[in-house]
Amino acid sequence: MGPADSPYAGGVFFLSIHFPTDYPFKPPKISFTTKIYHPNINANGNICLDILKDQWSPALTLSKVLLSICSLLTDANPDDPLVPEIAHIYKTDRSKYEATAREWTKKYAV
Amino acid sequence: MKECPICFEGDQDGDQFGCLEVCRHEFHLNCIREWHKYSIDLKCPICRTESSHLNVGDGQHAVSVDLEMGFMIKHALEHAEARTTGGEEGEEEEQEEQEEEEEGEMGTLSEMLQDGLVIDAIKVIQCGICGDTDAARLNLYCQDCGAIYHETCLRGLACEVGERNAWHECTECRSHQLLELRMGCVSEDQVTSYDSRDYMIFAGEVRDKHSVQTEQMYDRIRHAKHSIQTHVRRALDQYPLALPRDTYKNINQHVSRKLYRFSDNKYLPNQHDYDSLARTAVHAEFFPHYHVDI
Repeated sequence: MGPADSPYAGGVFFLSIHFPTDYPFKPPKISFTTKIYHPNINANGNICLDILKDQWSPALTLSKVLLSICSLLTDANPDDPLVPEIAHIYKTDRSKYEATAREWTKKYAV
Repeated sequence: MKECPICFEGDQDGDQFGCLEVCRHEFHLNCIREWHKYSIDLKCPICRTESSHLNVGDGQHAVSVDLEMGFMIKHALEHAEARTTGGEEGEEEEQEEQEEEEEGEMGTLSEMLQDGLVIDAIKVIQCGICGDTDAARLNLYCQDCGAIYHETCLRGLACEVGERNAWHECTECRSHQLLELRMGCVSEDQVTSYDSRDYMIFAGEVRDKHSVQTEQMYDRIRHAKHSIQTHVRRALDQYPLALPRDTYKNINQHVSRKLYRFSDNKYLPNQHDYDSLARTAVHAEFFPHYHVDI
């Protein structure tokens, strides 16, 4: 579910979660299967999140990771973007970003 | 009941817990050590506080495992790996070069130990139980997997698990092939001051790793190995049968090493006819019963 205080509110977003054989020493591979307009998530659904890469810790659980993804939806990180165009709009014209994100949510996630 | 934050299992199987020195967070010894094979730093998986030591056991049998040492070895190995697997083309060349350096610097421990029983070149020597690197007191090694131990640690561990008389066994691979470790001709006080970060033992001598002499020594080794390999390749190229790439590589490595040892780790073209030595040795690879005195 998109977080209530975000432009993704009301949307249902599906994720694909793949556990590598050496989990929990390697992070799970998580990607969005629902299209989403976000500076840190690209068209293939790949998520740019430090804890899924070099900041992974074997003490992290799936629920903690999902919580982090939720908070990424509320607070994007435009300084480390995966889609620079969206990050640019996010930084320069926040209301335009929110409008587009809401529109995509309505179109793909409801 | 204690629970390991990595695998969520308790201590029902008698799994030992270890405690990070700074933040005191506890993990299964095996889990946290496994994690350090993957991690990029020594930060605690829970609070990200860095600890250089892991405390295992308590009271009289408490040991402090030096994590930094293991981490350094991991990086060294990864570096070596990255170099050997870098690109298909010229891979062979690179691998050989790597080996040349490796054998001078650290070599695959078990391989070196198999032949001589005397350690010529080791980068890191560390007790497989307590993690200490005090070379002077390390006196046993496993012939099968290369692990090194203090005899006292092995005996202590055996006491702890109630099998006082069954201490003569490698804790890594369960092999009983534990042999005495000899430190070449290094004198006692040289060994005690040995710190593998700055010093290495090569051909029975403790050497400063960063000195010009050591650099020159590497160059000499590289040159000797390279020259010898040229002869072996020539012998292989002249061999009447076409050889698969892997066979070629293996034989090349094997024979080159043999010749290199044979001529006392030097290239002495005036004393030895390397071409004919290489031919004979290559032949012996294919016909193991054909006796050669190398």
